[in-house]
Amino acid sequence: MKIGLPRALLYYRYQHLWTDFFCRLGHEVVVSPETNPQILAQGIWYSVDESCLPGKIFLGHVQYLIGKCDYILIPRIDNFGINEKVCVKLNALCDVVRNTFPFAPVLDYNIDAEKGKSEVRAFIQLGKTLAHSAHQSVCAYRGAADFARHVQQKEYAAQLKKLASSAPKILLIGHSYVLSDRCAGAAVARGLERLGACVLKADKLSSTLTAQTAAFNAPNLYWTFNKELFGAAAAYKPHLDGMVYVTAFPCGVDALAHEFALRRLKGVPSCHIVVDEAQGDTGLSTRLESFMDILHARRLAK
Amino acid sequence: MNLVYLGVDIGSVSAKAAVIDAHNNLLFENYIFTQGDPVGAVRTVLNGLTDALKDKYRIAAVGTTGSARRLAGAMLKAAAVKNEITAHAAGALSLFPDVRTIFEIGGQDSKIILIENGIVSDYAMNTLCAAGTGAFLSGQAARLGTRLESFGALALKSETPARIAARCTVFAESDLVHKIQTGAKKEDIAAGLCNAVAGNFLNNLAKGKKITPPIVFSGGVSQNAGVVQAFARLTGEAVLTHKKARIFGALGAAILAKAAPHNSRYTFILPSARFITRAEECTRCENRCELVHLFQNGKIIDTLGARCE
Repeated sequence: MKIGLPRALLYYRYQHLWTDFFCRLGHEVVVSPETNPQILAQGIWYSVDESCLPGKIFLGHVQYLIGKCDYILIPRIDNFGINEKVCVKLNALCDVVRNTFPFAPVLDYNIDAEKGKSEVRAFIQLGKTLAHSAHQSVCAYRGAADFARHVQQKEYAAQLKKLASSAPKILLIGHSYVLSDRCAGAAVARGLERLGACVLKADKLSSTLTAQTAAFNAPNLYWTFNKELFGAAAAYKPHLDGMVYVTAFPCGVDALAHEFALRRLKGVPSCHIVVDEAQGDTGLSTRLESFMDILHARRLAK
Repeated sequence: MNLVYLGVDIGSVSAKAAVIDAHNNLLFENYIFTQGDPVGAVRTVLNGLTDALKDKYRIAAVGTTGSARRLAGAMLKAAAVKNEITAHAAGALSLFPDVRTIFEIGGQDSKIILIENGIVSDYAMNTLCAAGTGAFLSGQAARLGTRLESFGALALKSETPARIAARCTVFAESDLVHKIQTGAKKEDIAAGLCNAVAGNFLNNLAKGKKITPPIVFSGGVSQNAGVVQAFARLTGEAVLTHKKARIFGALGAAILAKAAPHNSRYTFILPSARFITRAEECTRCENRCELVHLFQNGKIIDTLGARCE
């Protein structure tokens, strides 16, 4: 079977788990290309106007994959446990796709830990759709999960090495699907690096460390992904010259989480970049340049 | 020949130029409207200075700022091409060395800049929306049939300002039409708009920021006495303005050019050189960057707008 993975939203979090899982079961994986203006334009066309930018981009990728694979993987995640919620967009994603593209071959799995539907059970369900036994699926899942953890640790270790840099160290705080997407937030990292900054990303993290810091600093936050970002930011904070919050327009979860982080993570200069589909560069470079000027002036003053 | 430094600020609405001496004293300035033609604006704003400068001074360095800073910087071989925030702060600091907070409202953007020990410590800039900026005020002035220059004076006459929401230009406009239809006086509406601009600025941009006096208000809108008064009333602090506040950016660009390593070649030959820009969608990869090529006398001297490496 050819399984299509839309390069958007959860792909950036689960790409290694998914790819390895399907490979272990003998399937081929097709990933849509990096977001480009055509994919974005398609996504905007198929989305409701009020959808967030990553949501629009997601539909563009789904549209791209239709006809190029046997199945398109679109998981449904409701929660990872009590007070471990995700954005409603991810609750509804496969239904949105089914209603937008009635003939799209959607392959889904369902995580709703509060109702006992854990990740491993979700992957058994997923394997069953592809005619694999529970035993096969569990083995593939365990192997893939180990592999994904290994990659994550490697990325985290690589980022820790960057802390020795003498350049101004700036932590980008934002969802992977915003920070890494070419038509969303990727320009922020690129712009800062061009200005001579050492860019770190809050989505490259050690899961144990961030869970501890987040639980300590933000006991009331119940969005799992934002908790992780917040925990990473708190853990990196002593090493940083600056923090840049990158949020997509109009993300409701981030709007709240950003305000929360501003109140809790004081003492390091920060700025907030909102990315939208208008794709204007001028405003972005002005903000990044002035932010770098602030960091340089602070260094000189010290 | 005395050495001087030139700062050029090409904004969305207006183009400004300032010339300073080695002690940051402002010698000459010029202010014109950009009228959608930044290349022409650079030429016009400098033409106005050429006669005064030509035989007596030599320009040692050029600095540019504003939304067309790269374009102007390439045309003038600038030593410093700086963003508006840093340039504005430098300009304001040269005239108000103790300033702690700068409010700046220009044609399309508004900024708050916080300063600690003479360096910028924090800033915020309007995002996604230009409600409550100069463009908004000039649009509403036209609707009221008032000239922008007399708008502030009109607002000061009001005793009972109308209540107008400026969180969104469109809503503000419907508020305003409603107020006109119910017979509110012109000066009350003008004052209401000034209050709305100041309130919108403080509630959105300055939200969560500590506003410490002395406060300096700059940018084109600072020439509007009604908005100045509204800021003073809402913050409970004296709000300082300067009659040259609209050229703070250009002044700052000149100061930053002086501080940057420089060896200027600018010799007033610009007005005779021919500059042309040509836009192009790059097709070499899927990013489809919108490139702008800048030609001087038919020779390409710079390309702007590339997102790829």
